[in-house]
Amino acid sequence: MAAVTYGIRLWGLMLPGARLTGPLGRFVALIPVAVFAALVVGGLPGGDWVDSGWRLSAALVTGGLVWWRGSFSFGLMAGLGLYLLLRGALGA
Amino acid sequence: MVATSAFALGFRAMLPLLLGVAPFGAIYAVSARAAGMSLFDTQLMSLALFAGGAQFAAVGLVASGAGGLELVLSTLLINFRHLLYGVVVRTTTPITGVRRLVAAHLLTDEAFGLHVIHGRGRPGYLLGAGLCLFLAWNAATLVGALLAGGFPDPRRIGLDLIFPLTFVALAVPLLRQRVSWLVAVLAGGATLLLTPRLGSSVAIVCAALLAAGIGALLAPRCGRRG
Repeated sequence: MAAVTYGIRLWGLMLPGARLTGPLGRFVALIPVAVFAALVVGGLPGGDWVDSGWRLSAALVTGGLVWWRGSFSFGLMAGLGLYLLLRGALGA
Repeated sequence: MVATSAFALGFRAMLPLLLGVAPFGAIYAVSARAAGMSLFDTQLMSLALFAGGAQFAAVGLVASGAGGLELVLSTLLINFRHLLYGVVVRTTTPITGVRRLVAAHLLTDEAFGLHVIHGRGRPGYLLGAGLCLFLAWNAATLVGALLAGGFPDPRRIGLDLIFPLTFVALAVPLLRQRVSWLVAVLAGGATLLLTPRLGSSVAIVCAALLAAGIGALLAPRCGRRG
């Protein structure tokens, strides 16, 4: 398992260093935002609709603060803080 | 004044994310011990594999008596997106020799995400971020393996939310062009649709490839490169 994981990770890093152009270059450049969005959607839903709503609210707060303030840590902690506050105040 | 090295910047950037990641390292270890794995094997998996999703899957498969081929195939499916990470890193950051070999072991979701946003062109940044997570993950594994129970599930107290919030925070700086918004929406929608059929790991890879591919084709029509 370790060899498979390492091999997968190394394989991508072993590509020639030439900059990709055209559609392939655009494709590679768009992979990060695509993967991040997929990871968000994959991890956001909660135990039920109420919890999912709280988690979505936290995500919107995080995204909004990062957009406005440009602070990764602040946005992250604010979103998590809101979620924990909602859980504590309104019941998990 | 001494300039902070890229390695130190990457290491420091990973610190806030440890709150959400490290507890899962401990939970993995508790699960592994409960499945009958020894302290040594539990720790060795974190040291050698260093991939949370695959480690949790492995514990489940070991507990159900799965064979080596199943373990390998599940690892391949769960971690396939790391191939995409390597491709992206390689096209933006010159990384060769020993550093590349080390980076390949440390290339996780979080390290990749931080590197894309803050560390492009700086191999040291990726290594610093990856090493920070590696140390924390393995320390948490050791704690969990030693406690072997009595450790609170981070999902019950809501700390699992840090993972998707991390990628919300990482995605925002990338959403500066219309095509990026389009790709994000497509990837999210495709993930929702595909997860019930393919499972989350495969769905994420398929959704990302599909969305990035459509975005690459439509980018000229959107007026700017993606």
